[in-house]
Amino acid sequence: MIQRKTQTSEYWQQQFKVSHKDIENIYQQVLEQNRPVDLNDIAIVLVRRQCNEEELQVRSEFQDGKLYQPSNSYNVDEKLVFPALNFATGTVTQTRSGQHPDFGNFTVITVNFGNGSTKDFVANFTHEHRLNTDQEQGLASLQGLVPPDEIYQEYQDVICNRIRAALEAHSDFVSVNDKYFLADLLTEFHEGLFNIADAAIDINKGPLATDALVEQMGLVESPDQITDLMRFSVNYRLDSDERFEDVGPEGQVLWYLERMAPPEAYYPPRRLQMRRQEYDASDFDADLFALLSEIDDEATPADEAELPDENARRVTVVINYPHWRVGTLPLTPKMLPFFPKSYHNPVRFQFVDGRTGEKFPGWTVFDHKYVFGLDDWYKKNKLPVGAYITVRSGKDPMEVIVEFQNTRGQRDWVRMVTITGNRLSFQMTPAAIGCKYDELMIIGDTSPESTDKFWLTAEDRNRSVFDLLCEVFPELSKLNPQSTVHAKTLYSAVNVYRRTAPGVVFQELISRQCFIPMNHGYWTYDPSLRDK
Amino acid sequence: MAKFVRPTIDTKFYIDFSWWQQKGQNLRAFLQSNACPDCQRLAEDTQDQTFDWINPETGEVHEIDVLWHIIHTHCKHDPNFLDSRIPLTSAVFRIFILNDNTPLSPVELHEQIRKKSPELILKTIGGRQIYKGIKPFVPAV
Repeated sequence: MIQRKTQTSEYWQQQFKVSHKDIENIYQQVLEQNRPVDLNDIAIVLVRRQCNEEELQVRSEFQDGKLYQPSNSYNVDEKLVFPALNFATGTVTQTRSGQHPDFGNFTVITVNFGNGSTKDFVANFTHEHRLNTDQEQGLASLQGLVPPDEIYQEYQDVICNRIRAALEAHSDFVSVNDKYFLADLLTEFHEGLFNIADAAIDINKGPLATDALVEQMGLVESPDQITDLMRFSVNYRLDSDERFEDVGPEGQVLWYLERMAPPEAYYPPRRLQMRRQEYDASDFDADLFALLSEIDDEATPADEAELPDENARRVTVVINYPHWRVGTLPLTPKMLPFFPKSYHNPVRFQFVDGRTGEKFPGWTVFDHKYVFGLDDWYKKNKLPVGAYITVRSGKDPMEVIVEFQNTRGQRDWVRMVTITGNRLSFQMTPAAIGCKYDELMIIGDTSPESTDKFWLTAEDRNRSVFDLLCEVFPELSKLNPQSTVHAKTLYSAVNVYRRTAPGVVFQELISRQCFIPMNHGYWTYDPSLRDK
Repeated sequence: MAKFVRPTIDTKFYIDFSWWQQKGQNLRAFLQSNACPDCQRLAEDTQDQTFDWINPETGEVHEIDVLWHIIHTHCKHDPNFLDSRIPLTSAVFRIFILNDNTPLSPVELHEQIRKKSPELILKTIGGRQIYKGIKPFVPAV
């Protein structure tokens, strides 16, 4: 098929650049609309404009000459348009008989394209050739193009990224959350207004929407006087000041003070940080592969994790040691729909205790795949590693209900972290557990501060996952008469020492001779094979 | 000078016959090195004979050595023509002879060569150094 450049993936993915002319057009677009313009709107207008320009070029060139087709005959001095050569036009300068062992009689025409370039083409060619369609069909196929809006949908990411980069390098434009405006046309904003905004948020003890701040600043006499441009100007000014942070979900701007936000909203706790770890899930048997989605660790790639159920009204997760220690929940694909989130910033919302109705702040940290704010709640309810935590949406979209299944008075034998000499160990100890939990994942710890020393040592010495497995395996196997340990238990125990994805633990299990698979996810360990 | 556009495994390649003319290279000599004994025998009396090769995409005509057509016709059904022991670059060139120089991407070439990977084929033929006229197919004046 004949293709124009805007119809090719190569053009949009590789050649497309935002030109000076494009920048001028975007400037005009924003100026004419006189309001902040969304990047999507800028991009789609740009794609439409490029397609239109190409269309005009094609039309004007068709007016200049005939559409070249191999089956037609042409005379010297005739002007032709070559669709397969980006609609170049040229003039026939000579003709001769063609020679081909299979094709009999045909003509070869020499075409001059100007600037000294000449090429030979076939004419009077009665055999099959892809350019041989009748004139009407040829034009129809040219006009049966992918429309600009569909082109934009196909290459949206690459087009938007290039426009964003070009506009950010241009001082005439200012942006907030992918909306663009002209710097010179921003509403005036004096320094004192920052202080008013700071005080208003401080007194509110929580985030404030842009409109509320505009009113507090006295920029309008009544809320109906607030314009999009005023909102954009205030958002841009506050965004440029390091005291203020947008903590609203996608599509909503809520301003908060950086000094009032916990560090974990912006910097992932060290306990959750993972060194680069790779594994190949295609090596796993069906049991281990199923465990990847059952554990549903946020470090497991989305295509191996548990899929979100669109109709689910609640979701349950099992917390591992690092999340338990720092008061977080993993933000996995099945958890995402339940939390307000933004792709640009951490989002502050309210947790609601499902049993007591008590509210406390939580933070969705999308970039680092966790939700923060449950430290006190875990401690108050004495929830162990391995506890089942259920979340569901509240009536207010900025509220998330969190709960556990209460089993008050239950006393169970649980795997407890103990410190023996210079190493961590595990013992089965009776303990009062007030919630339902995953028996394979549960780990009790009455002195997590002491355990932290072992974690820090393992981190500082960069102890390998294999080394840690060899250490915890004998400790765990002695708790079981069959000396077997489940892969989930090993994952849970290794994470006491070091944040590790389940896939990495499983990769070690299948690739080392000293770990011997039993049935149903259980393994044994033979220390004599450790170095084999 | 044309701007270098980094090709991908989906970029179509072909043999640019004008490269052979511009470089003053002897296409017949190279074709002979790729011809089987039968083709070489058939070509004995064809010294200096040319034919008008027609580009299947653009209709462009190149006057090239008739040995191309002999190999294309004769070796089409010879399973040894794409022997797995021949170097990758020769295998790519031979595929273009067999399909009469219809543009193919590294992914499509890999489907026919059945060795190496599309990425390795791309690395071999997609660099700035052009091997035997094999170039990305970018029709232009």
